[in-house]
Amino acid sequence: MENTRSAFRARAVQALGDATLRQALDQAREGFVAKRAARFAELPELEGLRDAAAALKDRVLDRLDEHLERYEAAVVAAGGQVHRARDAAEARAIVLAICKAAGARRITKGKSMVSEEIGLNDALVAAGLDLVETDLGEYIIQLAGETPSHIIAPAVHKTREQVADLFARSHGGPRKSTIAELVGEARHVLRERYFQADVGITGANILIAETGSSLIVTNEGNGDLTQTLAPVHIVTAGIERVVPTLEDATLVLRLLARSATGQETTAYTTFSTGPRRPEDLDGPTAYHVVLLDNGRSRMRDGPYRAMLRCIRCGACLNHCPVYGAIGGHAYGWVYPGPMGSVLTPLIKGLDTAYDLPNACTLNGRCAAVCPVKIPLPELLRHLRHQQHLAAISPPRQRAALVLWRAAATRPWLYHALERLGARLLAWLGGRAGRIRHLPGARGWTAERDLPAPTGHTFLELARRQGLTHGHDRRAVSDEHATMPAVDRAVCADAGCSNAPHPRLWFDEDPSVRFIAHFKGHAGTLERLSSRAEIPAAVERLRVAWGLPARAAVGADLGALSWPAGWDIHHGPAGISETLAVTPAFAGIAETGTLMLIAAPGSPTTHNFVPDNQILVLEMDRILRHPEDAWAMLRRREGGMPRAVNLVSGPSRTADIEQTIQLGAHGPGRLHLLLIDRSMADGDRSG
Amino acid sequence: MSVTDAPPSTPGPLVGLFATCLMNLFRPQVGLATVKLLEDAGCRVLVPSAQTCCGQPGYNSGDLESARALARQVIAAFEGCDALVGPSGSCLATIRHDYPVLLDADPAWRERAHALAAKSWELTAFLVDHLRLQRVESVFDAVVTYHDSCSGLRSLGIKGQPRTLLATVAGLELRELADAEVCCGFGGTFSVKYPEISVRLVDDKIAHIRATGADTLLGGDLGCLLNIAGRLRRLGSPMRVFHVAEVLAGLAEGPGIGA
Repeated sequence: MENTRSAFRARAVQALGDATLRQALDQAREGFVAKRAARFAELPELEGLRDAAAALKDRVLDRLDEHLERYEAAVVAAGGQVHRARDAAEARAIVLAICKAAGARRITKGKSMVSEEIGLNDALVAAGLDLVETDLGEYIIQLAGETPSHIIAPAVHKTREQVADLFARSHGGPRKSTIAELVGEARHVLRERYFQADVGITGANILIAETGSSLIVTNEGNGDLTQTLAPVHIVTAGIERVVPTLEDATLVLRLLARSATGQETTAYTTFSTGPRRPEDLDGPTAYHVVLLDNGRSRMRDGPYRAMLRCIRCGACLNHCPVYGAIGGHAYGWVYPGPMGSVLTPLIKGLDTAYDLPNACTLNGRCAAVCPVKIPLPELLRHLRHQQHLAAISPPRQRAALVLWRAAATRPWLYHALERLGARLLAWLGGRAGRIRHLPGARGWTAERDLPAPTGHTFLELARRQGLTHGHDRRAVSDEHATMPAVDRAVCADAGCSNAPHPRLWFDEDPSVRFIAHFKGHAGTLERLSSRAEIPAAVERLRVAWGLPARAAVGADLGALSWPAGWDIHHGPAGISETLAVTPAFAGIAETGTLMLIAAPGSPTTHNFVPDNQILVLEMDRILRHPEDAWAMLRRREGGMPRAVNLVSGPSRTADIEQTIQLGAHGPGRLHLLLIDRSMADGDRSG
Repeated sequence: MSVTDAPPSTPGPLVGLFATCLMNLFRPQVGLATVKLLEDAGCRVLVPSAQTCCGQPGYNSGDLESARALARQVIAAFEGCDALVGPSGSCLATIRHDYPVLLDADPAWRERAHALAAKSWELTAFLVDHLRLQRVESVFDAVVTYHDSCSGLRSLGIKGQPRTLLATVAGLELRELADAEVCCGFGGTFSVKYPEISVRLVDDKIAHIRATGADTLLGGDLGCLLNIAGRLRRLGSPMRVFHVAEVLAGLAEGPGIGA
């Protein structure tokens, strides 16, 4: 990382002059900001959830080591392995050693900022491994030989035209022009890579101590294909990702997508727990977690502790005017914007990243939108303080501060200087009332005028009016009654109890809400009165979609009377699979989400490999909240399944120009057959 | 003008006027307007001469020791007053929120910092939230738009207060800005340390200001106003710029800031 003072400013100036970048950034910012605002406006209780989430993360940090030990024990109990890495070099070495031990040649990668933090790609490629990023945005920048410019939208700085040129160059073949064609091309190219991969590497949005699960939140389905198809799954995650329970994870999830993309929930939320079980038909045979410290323990024990609450949603980037003007690359390392301006100096060194804490107007919008209420401006100011103490700040600034203090602590001198300044500036301003060039203030006057004063300071005028008063505390306070005490907002620390987290309350009938929200995620749905109607319904869809008479069908549905001539199988989905018919474990009304679990009767590949998926759900399996589903899973024999997939609509991406395109890597069509036994003969409308 | 919750016979509160550096140097009219508004609202106004700066330049540059020295100076100068009031969300956010933090570990000053913070007010918040002032007697024939400064908006919750009073100014039409919550690019020393970024931000702000069709820009912080006015002048714009206090006090005359 080259992050000297001149380097930052040079990169910023270059970015400011890049019209294409500006177009991309403006478009992204407007989309993210408006969508988040809409979500928070419709649910005022989200503000309370922010307090609860901040308190949760603080509680976890208080006893981080215990939570990590519990997490590690749970991973091991599920058949996985946990590796601790003190720094980036150790983390790279651990991943490399796992790849070597597995005899790996080909690696697929889901999106992971920790892997960027430790420079994993370069290390693996240097070791001769064939590595491909599978998130569309990450894939684009990998082809371009660049780094992410945004933590959730890595290619936000690229326009459709630039991607089209890049793909034409990299893939050969005719240049595609529409976003649909570009997404389709990436899907096609990457499909084989998933199936050929020896190791799949993902990050983790959350680690859950209770179950030993790693959780990823995606829209495309690439992360799931990465972690399901490769025989070895490696998770890279920071130690601060851990939360105690599934309910705690739910609290974070309620804020994450809404803050990040303004989605109620992403298309896929997947909990991975250990490797494939003996009875499973698919999933990795080995499961490793690399827990990265890299300065986090140090952060935890000092004034920057609140930074470890960060859930990497990117809201602070989206709402930062400086980020919006210069983009992510100007920041010089993997974490940009306000969160990066705190993290980068802490991880890479105060002097390496001198500019980052300073290139901020302290306008506070980042903290106002942060889902875990990190006081980012305060942390940035504290970094400036440390730079000041370490004498890293520029000598000119330090000298100016000494002079300023010397004057400002001597009111007579300060006022005299102000009077002198007012006269001098008034004279320079002349009749125009403004100054076009001021020696020593080129930073201001290069592109701005300096409004000129009128010649007298306010204190002079006030003295003439007899308003000024020397400091005489007693005389003043004895003479006049004091005013009533001002009400001060009491900082209620509501989240610090062990009470259950607030849920998002709704009073609709759960099935009505489920259906409305499911459709809101672009899922389609029809109601059937019995399971016997499933084969006919599937056949109608197959014909309508123009698919061959073949499907990967969950074993529990195998006993139905499938039409003659159909090729039905219950094994894992192969690369040419076009249709899966899958029983859902439950529906969650809060977000219109289907919960699918890895089981012999429901292989995980069915949920991500085919282009089309038909899901089957019994009406009485619609639950109100995720918490209700966790209670059901805990009662279930065998406990937490190897994979729990929360599916909210078809696969999608917005990685090219923020335009939503369905069918990124997972199914582009998602149709639900809702079995409603109480349904009267007549009413079949969804 | 009326003060609804104070009987006229009792002597009004003694308000110490915080004369911000930028106001003192660049726009004394804002101070005169502040005095008039406070006196009209029944306050007695004092301008302690032992005051200089709130200390924010030091605080934001990482020089906490200097910031503490200035905080102690301000506390000593104003704690005898019934209230500290200033026409700036930025300086007042420092006094209200940062002084207690800065002096938290100083047993001699901790309570005094809290006590002053509790009775310190940005001007429009003092008039509307504390004195319950509902209207002013002022005339200003203009189509205006209003820039909410970030410190006032987010640290002190100042949004409705200036609008409540502006709504009672005869002849004034207010048109709201798009992206009103976005910074104008001033940011104190940021504006001179990173001028290229600062100017991009102020240009974005000016585009929104122009889109309202307003002929006058108002705001509650001179830092933002000097930045926006300075850029408007350089671009040759005839847009007038005033501090909101000048308009509320009926003292907004002439071509405005920087012209």
